[in-house]
Amino acid sequence: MKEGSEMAERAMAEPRQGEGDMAGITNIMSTRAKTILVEDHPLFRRGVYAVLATMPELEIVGEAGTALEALELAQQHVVEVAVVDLVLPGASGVSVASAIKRLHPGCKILGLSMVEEPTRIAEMIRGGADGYALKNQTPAEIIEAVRAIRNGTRYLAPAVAADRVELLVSSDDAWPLMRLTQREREIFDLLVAGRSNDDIASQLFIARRTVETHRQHIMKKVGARSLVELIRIATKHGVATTCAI
Amino acid sequence: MSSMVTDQIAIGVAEPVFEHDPPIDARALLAELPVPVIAVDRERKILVANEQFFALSDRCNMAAEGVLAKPILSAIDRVLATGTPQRVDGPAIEGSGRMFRALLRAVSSGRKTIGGVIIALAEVEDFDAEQAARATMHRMREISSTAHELRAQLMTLLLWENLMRTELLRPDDHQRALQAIRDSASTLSALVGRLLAAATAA
Repeated sequence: MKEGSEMAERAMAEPRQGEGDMAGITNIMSTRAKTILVEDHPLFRRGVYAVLATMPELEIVGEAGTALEALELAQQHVVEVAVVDLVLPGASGVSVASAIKRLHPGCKILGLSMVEEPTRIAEMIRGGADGYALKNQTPAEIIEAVRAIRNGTRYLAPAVAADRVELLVSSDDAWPLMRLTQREREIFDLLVAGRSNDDIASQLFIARRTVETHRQHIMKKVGARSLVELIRIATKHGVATTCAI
Repeated sequence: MSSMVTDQIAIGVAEPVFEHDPPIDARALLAELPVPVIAVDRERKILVANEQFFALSDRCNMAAEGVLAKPILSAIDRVLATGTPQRVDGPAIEGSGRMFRALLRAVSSGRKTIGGVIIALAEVEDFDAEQAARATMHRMREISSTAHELRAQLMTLLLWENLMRTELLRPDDHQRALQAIRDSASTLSALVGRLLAAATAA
């Protein structure tokens, strides 16, 4: 877990042009939303930190590079805003978003990732994200995205196929993978990543037989008769190569 | 004509197949061969198979009757014509639901003569569909993972470059931004080097 960077501390300690008088600053300070940043690439995280640190309405209380670190942060702070990468080591950003939302239902979560597949974005939204921005957006757009979700508006990056995302978010039938439980989805990802039942059992600390049972349920739910078909489904929906990177 | 060897099954094709020989001669010829063999005619109909073939047919999901599925014969033709290995995936016999998955390649560079019939041999490796799918996915994920890392570094460069352009960054933080850009470029270069090394090794 990484505590606030020097740059961000300075950015928040010193008032900027246009930030108003002292009374205004005091008011802002008292209402600053406790924010966490979850991103596994340190240099990119430092950059986003610098962007968020320019927003006087936010107080960055911590950074995380893994899903586990993110959960620890969420347990230590009453998180009001979270900027979460979709692809993280250990677990996906979807799991992180879900866990944060469970701990802090009022928290506003912005997914921030390179992934543009509507299915993955829809998963993130269904997992609890209030908006989704792309990493190639400008700092001003990232700021706009955070402000939008804080105002209760769903933000989707302009480059994202919003109609498709909304359809996937609103309809279980639009995408068979939505029918899977979180555990089944986890096993699905590992199966299409080429892991054997034994590997999965060992990784998830469950019995091989449990993996086999989950596998049967997954096959039935998505309508696949073999692993080959499962991989075809994953490929068709754009999750074959990105879901467990 | 098609032939097979025990562990690595071999298929051979004669063109034309037994045009001038009665099937009984083909049967006698095949019986003499020490490898599993099936003989097919120009219409891909299987004329005869020897005992070694029957012994292996179950393991290979092939049957010794019917018409050989077109993709298999086409793949054999391509192997013989080009010497390039070919993968086939589908039923071995036309209309059969039984799957046959194989990698065909020429056993030797030239053609061979057996019993006066010019044939060329192609090797078939029986492989597990699930294992093959896993291997393909594994390769795809490796490529995907590297692509993801490359993009991550590019996004970092872009973000810091954007920050430097805006009023958001203080002048004294420009050095820090430049360092981040340098570090990202360095990582990017290392990743490309790794990719090139992997391509060279492959």
